[in-house]
Amino acid sequence: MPGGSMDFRGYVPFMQNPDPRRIDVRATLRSIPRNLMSRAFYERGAVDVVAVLDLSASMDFSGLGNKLQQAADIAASIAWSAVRHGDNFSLIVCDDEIRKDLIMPASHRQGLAQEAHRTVSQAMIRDGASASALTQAVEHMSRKRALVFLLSDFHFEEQFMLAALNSLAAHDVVPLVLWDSAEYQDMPEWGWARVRDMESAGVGSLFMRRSMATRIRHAYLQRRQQIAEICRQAGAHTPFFSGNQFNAEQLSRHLLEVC
Amino acid sequence: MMQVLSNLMVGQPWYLLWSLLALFPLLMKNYPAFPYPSLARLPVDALSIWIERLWRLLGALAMVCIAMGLSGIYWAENIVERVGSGAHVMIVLDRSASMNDDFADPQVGERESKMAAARRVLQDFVSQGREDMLGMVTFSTSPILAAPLGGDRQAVLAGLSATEAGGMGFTAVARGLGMALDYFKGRPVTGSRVVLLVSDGGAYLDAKTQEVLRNMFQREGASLFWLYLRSANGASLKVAPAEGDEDAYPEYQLHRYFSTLGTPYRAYEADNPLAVERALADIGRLKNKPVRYYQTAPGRDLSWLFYLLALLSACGVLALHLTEVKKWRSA
Repeated sequence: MPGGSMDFRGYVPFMQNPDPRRIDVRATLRSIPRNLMSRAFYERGAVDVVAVLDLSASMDFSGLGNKLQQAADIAASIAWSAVRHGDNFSLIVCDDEIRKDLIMPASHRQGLAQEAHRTVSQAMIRDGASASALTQAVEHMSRKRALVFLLSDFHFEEQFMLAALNSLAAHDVVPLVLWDSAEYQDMPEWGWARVRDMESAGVGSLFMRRSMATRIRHAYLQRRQQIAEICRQAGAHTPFFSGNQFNAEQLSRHLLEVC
Repeated sequence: MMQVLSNLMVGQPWYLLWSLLALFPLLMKNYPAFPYPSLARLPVDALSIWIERLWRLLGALAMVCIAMGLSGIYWAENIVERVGSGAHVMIVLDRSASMNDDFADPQVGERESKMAAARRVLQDFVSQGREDMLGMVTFSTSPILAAPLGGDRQAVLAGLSATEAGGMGFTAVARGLGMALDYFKGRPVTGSRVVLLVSDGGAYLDAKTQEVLRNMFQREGASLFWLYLRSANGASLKVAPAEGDEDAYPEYQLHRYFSTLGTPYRAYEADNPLAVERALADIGRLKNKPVRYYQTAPGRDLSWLFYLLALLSACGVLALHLTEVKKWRSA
């Protein structure tokens, strides 16, 4: 977003930053085709960065990675980045209710990243908890437009997903989808497996075979498109699908592309 | 179908309570399962669902079958109505000492005692596939029951084999006939009744015995066939003895008495083994109205079948268990 601080961001066409004082003659002469260029700067100061974490029981899944650990890494990374720029960082954790014991109020003091990491990675996930409090997370934010990172596995019903994203519509929402490859890719190739739903405690029978693996992969592919579609409907950014491990570089690139 | 089920009997019914254990595999919920974030993501798969159902059913089936096997299930003995085309034949076989002698008209090259010939021919007669009901009484001084009237031919054959021990004693015809007739008593008349008397001589019957026997024959409605095996010194039935000599020929007197029984009577006089065969063939050809009788089929133990079923079910469960995924990871 265009800002007025001294943190130089780059050159942009004049129409994207129509401030005559920022016109850069040398950049204009370098541009092909010839285009009036102006200097752009980062917005400095009061951006609230909020990490909203879904702590429903399904986040307890550990396949090749550990979702909670990854969430802690991401939260710490966001906090570190925010503090470095002097932005306020806050953490809101939801399961069936807002987890008051884990909440971190907005602050930009030193050591926030470490504290966020510790808080998230040591969080107790309650058995059978759903993420129904996600719609109330907005009540714990300031009214000012904030950058909201929504960390979840997005295993909710479509209706609820839309409702949760709509409740955050006043803010800039970046959905971060935490899926483990053991859920849909690195599965047993053959054999009979009984599976238990981590949230509803329902049980299912799954006879794994080649065609079954293909169908599951296909189902997750469709789900991916469905999540992207719902995010688009709710006015959120394109969701970021993390792998088994948090990769800060990939997230940065994603943010540069979508923001 | 209902009749089939009603014949299933259980030895120790309280063991069937064990089959309540079948509810355990049917209702079991807390078996180990892999935690998965959301079952809604997994496609609905008919094969997987049926494998789960099969697993539960096989478990329940194994329990029920073991309970059935333990309870000692069996087919009850049931009464089977059989229709026989033939007669009810009581064989009354003379075992007196004279039966060891030769025939009156021995043929060259084959000397055979009367007992041996009678035994051989009777064995053939009994072994024939005709569905007669047979019984046998042997007699010498007193009658001995060899086989009661019924469809059991083995018993009759065994009784015949037992006569190989040789004969002894006197000829008490009346008591033998009386015992044979006793076996007709109280049974439904579902076929013609025949008393087949095989003997080589007669005996005097006093007036009282004659009266009793006549009454019995008439009451039971049995016809009499007398296969008379004539000894070398025996009298022929066909030739009436001279006046005043009747007492010397008890056979002829017996023949005369049998003729007055009031029920069908035929005498076959055989003086060599061939004649015996002819006589029996004659009797065998008799056409009778069908015989209806009931037979008890023995109970059959079925627990092995249920143990086998239980074993197969358990093998099925084991096979399913072997296909189970032990660890959630790609190979």
